[in-house]
Amino acid sequence: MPIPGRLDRYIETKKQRHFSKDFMVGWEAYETWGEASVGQSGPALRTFEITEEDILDYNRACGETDPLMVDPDFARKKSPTGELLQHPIFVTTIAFYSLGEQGIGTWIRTPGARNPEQRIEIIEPFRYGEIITTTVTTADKFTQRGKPYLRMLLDFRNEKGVLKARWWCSLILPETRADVARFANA
Amino acid sequence: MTTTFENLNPGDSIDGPQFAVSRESIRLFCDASLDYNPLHLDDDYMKGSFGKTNFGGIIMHGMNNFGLISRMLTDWAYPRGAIHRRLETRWVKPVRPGDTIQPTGIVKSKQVTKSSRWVLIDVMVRNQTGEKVATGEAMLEFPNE
Repeated sequence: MPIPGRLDRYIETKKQRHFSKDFMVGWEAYETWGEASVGQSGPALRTFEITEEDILDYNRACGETDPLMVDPDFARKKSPTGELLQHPIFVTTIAFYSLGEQGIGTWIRTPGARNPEQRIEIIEPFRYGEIITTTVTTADKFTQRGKPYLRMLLDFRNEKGVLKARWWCSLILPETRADVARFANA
Repeated sequence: MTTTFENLNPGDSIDGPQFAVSRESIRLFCDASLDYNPLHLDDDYMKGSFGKTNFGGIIMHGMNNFGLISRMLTDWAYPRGAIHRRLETRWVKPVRPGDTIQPTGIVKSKQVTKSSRWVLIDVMVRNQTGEKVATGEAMLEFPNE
């Protein structure tokens, strides 16, 4: 799916420029509800280096106006860490970047997947330069009101193994490959 | 009167900022979150039935609701020395370009443990017609002084 040209002006960060944006490419291998196995766990495809531009871009998209969150020069002088304060749900970006087109967690791209609920715990802020590894665990799968749900746990740790945040993410996921195909070919 | 842990009471309310949802705000969130699911990008893709649901067009990321709630909570908490620790949310209704949404919070309870002091807050987001589009619960920490 091509990205509309008029909107390309929003793409600002190094990660955005190189990120594979077409979620339909490779869908044939993305995880379905039927294939998910409770207890399966492992590291995501990529690690994520925390940079100022990543945090700044996310804060802006959330509509933040506080200079501690959107003015790097102001934050260098005034914030408790000398860094931009990051938005609490910045883990979203880490997850979408780290869980890739292969390996564990391809469900994040599966056509037809929807995200109805979640719980995020923030243990300590991310800091510039940290290398974050996301560990993905299939915590539960069940059917509710006729819809197939998958519950995933994502743990975010820095290069020293310090747990920074946890995200329990529920998904309604296509049950079979044929179901995914219907969404992919819609 | 300055709000402190001591003078907070169940029923106290917090109002967040209004947010005008547009195709561009949704696209901005795609880039910032790297969530390029066509649910949020492609009207043609969204014209048909989506499972048992027909959205009729693109919808905002549920996590954008989460972002607004967190923005409200951190704007409220930070000047009071409190920290946003946990947020649990459910998306109730889709949000579309043209909607205006606003988060609110109501203090539910307070708790003191050996390690710290905690406040539970019921949170929700409503659209311009007053419909709830997201609900949830947040926990803030007021570290011991």
